[in-house]
Amino acid sequence: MSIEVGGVDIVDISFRGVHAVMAAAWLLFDFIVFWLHFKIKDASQPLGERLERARVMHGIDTVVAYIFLLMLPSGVILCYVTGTPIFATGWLSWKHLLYGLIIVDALYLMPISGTALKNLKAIKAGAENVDELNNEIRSKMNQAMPAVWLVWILVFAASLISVLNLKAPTGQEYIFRKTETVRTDR
Amino acid sequence: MFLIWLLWLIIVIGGFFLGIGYGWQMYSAGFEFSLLLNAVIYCGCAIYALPKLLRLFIPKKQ
Repeated sequence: MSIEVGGVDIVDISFRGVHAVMAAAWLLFDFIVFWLHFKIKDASQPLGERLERARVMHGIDTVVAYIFLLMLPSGVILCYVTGTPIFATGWLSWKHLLYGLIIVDALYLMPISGTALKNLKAIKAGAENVDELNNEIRSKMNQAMPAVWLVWILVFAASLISVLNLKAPTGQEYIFRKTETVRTDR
Repeated sequence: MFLIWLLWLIIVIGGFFLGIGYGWQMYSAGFEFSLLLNAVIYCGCAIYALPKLLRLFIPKKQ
């Protein structure tokens, strides 16, 4: 399927673009989550500020979860659109391996996710075991952050594999436009 | 709740699709380390997620 405007295959470009933007957003959001967690786990910081950051982090985590889940179908669709054999392309099998490791990592992170927000809400509501709740936040976050970094490294490596194997589609010298169209426009 | 449904659905469907696909590729085109790892990891994740997905379809009796 192709819809062409001025030598640009809109379907092809759209799927490539969405896939690339999703990867870029994933890298950025993972970094923001890492940056936010320092103040959230620091019990000496004001409660209101920690709670606000925990809410933002939870929101970002939700967006990252959607990106993570939709990456697989968007990648499979992209293979069909660009005519890349899913199981017989060497570099793609290594990329899929990295995504498989990200799934395992996500299954490890799932039970930890949301602890900080839940505990901070409990502290604000007047829970008596404040020290215990703060310790749980700190230990769970210290447990989660290496896994978050591992996801970041795996997404970065997968993006690098894609960039290094990026090819212009058949009949194109230019990545985004068909060669004939560019020459006709002169 | 929608996110939980989406999570287990994609891990089960995507896991079996890629796991079986890579297993089949290894069977038809010969052994390769990345194919084996993909088949094991994806089928493993799908098998782990299957009971969780089924529990969403058939909730536990109280």
